[in-house]
Amino acid sequence: MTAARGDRWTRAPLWLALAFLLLFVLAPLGVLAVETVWSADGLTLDAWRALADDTNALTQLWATLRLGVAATTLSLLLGGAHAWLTIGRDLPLGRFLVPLGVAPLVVPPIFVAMGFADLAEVRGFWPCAMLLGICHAPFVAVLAARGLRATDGRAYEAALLLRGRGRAELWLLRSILPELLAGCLLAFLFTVADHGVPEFLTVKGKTWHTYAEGIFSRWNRRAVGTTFAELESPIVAALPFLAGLGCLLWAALRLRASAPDRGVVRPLPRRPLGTWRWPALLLPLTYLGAGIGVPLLVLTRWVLGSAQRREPMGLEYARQSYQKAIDQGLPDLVHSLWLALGVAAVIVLLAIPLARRSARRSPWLDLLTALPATMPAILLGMGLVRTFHANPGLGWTGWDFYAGWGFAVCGYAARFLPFAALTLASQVRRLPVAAEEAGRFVPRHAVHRALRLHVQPLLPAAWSAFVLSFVLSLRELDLAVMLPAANATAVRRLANAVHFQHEDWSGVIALMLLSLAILVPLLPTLLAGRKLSALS
Amino acid sequence: MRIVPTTFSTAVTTLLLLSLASCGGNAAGASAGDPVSVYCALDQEFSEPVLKDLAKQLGVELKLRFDSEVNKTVGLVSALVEEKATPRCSVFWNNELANTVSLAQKGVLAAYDSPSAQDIPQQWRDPEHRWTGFAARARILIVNTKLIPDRKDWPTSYLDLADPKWKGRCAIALPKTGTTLTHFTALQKVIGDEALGKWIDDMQKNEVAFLGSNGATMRAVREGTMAFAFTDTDDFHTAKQKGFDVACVFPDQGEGQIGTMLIPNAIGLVQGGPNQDAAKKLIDAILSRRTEALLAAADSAQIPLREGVTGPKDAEIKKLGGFRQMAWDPTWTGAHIDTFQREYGKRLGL
Amino acid sequence: MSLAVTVTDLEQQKGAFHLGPVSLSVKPGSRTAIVGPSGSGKTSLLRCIAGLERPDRGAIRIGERAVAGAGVHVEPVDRGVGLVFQDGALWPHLTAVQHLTFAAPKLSRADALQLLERAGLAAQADKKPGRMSGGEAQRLGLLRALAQHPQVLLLDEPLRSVDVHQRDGLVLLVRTLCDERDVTSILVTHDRDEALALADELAVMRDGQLVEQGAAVTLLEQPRTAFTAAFLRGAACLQTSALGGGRVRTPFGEFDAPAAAPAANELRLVLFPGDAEAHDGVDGPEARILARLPGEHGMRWRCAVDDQIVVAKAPANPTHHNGTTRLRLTGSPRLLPWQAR
Repeated sequence: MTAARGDRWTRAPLWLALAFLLLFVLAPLGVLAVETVWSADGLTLDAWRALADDTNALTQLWATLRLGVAATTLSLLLGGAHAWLTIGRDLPLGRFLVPLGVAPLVVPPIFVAMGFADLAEVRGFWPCAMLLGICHAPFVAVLAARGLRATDGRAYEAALLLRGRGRAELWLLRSILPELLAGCLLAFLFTVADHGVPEFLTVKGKTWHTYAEGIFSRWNRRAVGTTFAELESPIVAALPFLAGLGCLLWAALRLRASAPDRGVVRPLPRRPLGTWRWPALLLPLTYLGAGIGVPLLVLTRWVLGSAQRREPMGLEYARQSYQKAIDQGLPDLVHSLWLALGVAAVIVLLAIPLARRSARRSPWLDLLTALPATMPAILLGMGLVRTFHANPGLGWTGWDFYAGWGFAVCGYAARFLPFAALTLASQVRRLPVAAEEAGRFVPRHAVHRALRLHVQPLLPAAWSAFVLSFVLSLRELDLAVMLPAANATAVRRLANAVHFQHEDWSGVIALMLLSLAILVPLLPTLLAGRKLSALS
Repeated sequence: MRIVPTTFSTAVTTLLLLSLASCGGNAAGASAGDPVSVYCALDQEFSEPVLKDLAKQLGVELKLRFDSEVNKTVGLVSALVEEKATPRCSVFWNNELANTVSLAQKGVLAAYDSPSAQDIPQQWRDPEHRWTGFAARARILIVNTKLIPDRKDWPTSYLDLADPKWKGRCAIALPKTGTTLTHFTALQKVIGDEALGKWIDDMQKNEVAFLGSNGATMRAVREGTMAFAFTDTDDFHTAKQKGFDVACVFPDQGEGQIGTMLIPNAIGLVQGGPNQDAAKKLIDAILSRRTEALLAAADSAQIPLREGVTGPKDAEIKKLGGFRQMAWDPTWTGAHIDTFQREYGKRLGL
Repeated sequence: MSLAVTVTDLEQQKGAFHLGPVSLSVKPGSRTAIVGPSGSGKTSLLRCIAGLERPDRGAIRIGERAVAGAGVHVEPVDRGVGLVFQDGALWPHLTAVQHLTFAAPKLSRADALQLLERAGLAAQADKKPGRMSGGEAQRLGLLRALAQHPQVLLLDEPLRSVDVHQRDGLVLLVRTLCDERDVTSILVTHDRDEALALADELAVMRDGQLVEQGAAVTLLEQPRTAFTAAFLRGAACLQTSALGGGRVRTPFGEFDAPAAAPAANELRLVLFPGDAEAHDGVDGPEARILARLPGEHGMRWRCAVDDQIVVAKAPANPTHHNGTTRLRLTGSPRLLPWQAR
């Protein structure tokens, strides 16, 4: 055995991950950019000028920014407050409420939108902001909870002794600002990139449009003759904006990761809520009620027959709904499950070498991996379709990669890789470099050393990344619409079915999908004897 | 020890490659034994059983791709345009006509004069045989009978949407995709640019709700948010099936009025798509009278275009010949969808 | 007899810091400590020897084998060295036994347990580092480094994170195990006591340079530089100025510069504790009394002269208490260059 030969093996996954980034992140965006500028009907200065005068595009951009800010503020209030009230507090049921902070993440935003739309008028700006704010609050809740858990209780006690409770709480708030900022940025990115919910609300009478809707609308018009210049100029115009967001996200995550290693800390002391103990319970309950309760309630009502007038609601109707669901949607559900599992597995395999490289040697990789998180999924989807629809380089094999599940897996993996890679990179930064150096004295093959000393300590974080990727893949709608194979997924089918008034059986499929999103991460966690809070 | 590197690197690469390779299909230009690839924009619940039944009869393997309501019709149309150089679809079954015509004009569809289509009226067949219409929907007004119980008060014309009497009480879908886009584009020729522009202006003044889809307008009416709305017969039929208090009005039936628009499904053979022979057989089967009858009997309640084919059971959905049809030109409409979007899109905030 | 480790003209640039050129020789079976203040480059030198870093110039040999030099870089694992890291650098996810069996593939669990028992870690065999004290972690770090039977054991401040009362035990363990296995050890530390406890040979470093190298006893008793005297024995090093004619002026008067001394301005008057005494007269430099310390050889005063601390013998019957005193030498002056050339 020679070390050099061993290193080649340990570098193979990194090269593979870099090749993946090149193929499924950089190439699609590069193709869009190049075609926009250099294709036969490409971008001209006139098109840019027209874009500047395009009041629709500007209105959409403005509406999106307002929506992003409003929804993120709500995410901060709901998610941040949930963590604030449940970690190290004497809130009743606090122990159970802490891990539930992440739970609304398993509910696809479209379900939340359908749920609220079933109960009330949701067509205006504020209802839309409210829906997206609720859907993306878990990002803030989870990161804030992590920040609070990592804060040293001794430092809080020092602040308490010196400055009193109010100032100590302010100090605590300041100490988790990086986590709050990172959570808010994620919530903002997901909000401005969301196409499904604003589009769904159009069905309910929303008359204003977001940027993601605008991009998609132009994409559709391509089929009937819109030029690339018209189609993609807003995309190109949005790139600096998206790149700015990417930089902010990267900065926030770096800030969090570069915080002193808070691995060995004394937990926060229990901070009494006093007379607010019971009233404060309302906030987490409202958050969870809105994020999970309402969708579950409405979906259950649909299953029981609330979306029709022909028969009485009840178990008999539910039985029929279930039967229709099995007939109509079961294959889609199975596809969704396999797709999400495949995506999560691929993401973790790619994220580990990327995370190690970015944490130890090339921090710029963070920026590269974060790129897909900063753009609407619909935009990434277009880039993927443009790049791969002709199976470049594969024509001679007769293999239709583009139409297969492999392409869907890669597309989804490109979309969600940032979350896993950044989470793992943050974890790598927390591990002592010296412990890895100690491994260089061990007379074993480089691959064995890498697996035992580099990969094994990352396994808990890798499992979290797997779960996150799995859940996000299961609920992804935008890419499901764009990528051919992913058309046959449950979320895409549901979005369709509701349009076609099949609320009854689509309710069953939706509930099954939610069960999968909860059970698949939960069962191994419980079987491995880990605390539920590990998932959050 | 020596096994480790092999196992590890193989695990990494194979997992990735397996995920890539496991489910890929065959590329375009494949042989006669390959599955027939069908892109279908008609609701999966209605079209899938029909297609599977036909596949069984014909003994061909099908590869199906359905459209999303989110990008109704146009998603598959976009895909077909993108894939023109390397087609992977054999048969395109669209649930409306104009976009199919547009595809034909872009050279995506091949000529095929199906023997099954000979009794379909000439107006629904491309003179160059690149597309054929069948099983249609009508653009109708859905009325909430609780809000407007008296039949005499029901709207009767598209112009009623601009009537101040219904200010803020009626809806229509945004003409960005699907049958509504076809409807608006066709109206551009039928009533003229000026009248269409005035109608749109008047509707905006009349606070007509421009919603995301025909399903949405139907839903607004069935739930009582709106008194009436433009929608398609299949949407009306489903709402009625579900027990809601709704009725259907075929608009503009009076003397001198423009008539009700009928928009058929359309089918076309994709130029260079896989397994053309089997694809032609499938097209023949889809265009058969039996299939039209099946689609009429299903919840989609499609109106057969041929004499003698049993129509929808629902008496409210009139049969061909039972109402005044709007005379519109699919070829002209298909060629002008783009210009309509350019001219009117911004006015409607699209 | 060949040397265990030979470092020849080693140089390395790290940002603004330049290490070297450094040359160092370590005899087989010896225990050498590289000492010096923080930032003197001793850890970088150790890491170069270990193979964790690559020097820009120069060469390193371990035994007969060139492990670093022009076009040569042998990986740490192939150098036959073991390294004990500052804070243990243990693997947080492995138990004590797993540390040893993973680090030394030929070691069975039973052997590992035996080794742990010798180090007083039997009770920690199945514990992970998070549940060990600093001393226990460092013992495990030592066992891990020795488990592979290295020719040379490198220790990077091994006592730094160990409680005072656990240090002796660890020192004893290091010496015993090294003796038993006939391992050459090279220690890096800025702590004189740690160096003297674990090494017989000392190499003193300052600002990336090797100041002097020799037997510990020699360097302690007869340092060749004022820096070594200050670092190893806490000697005060007072500034001098050249007077010409081979004479130098010091706060204690004028003296002859030693033969073969460098420029007189680079000489220091070196005062070991007790080399000066306080008195009630008016001769000698004035000193501020900082503390009065009882000792085996009578009362000592810690006094400040210029910016140096001089530990002087207290007068038998001190008569004044105003906080200042005068000092005089008790023997002949010790004039040494600040740093060897």
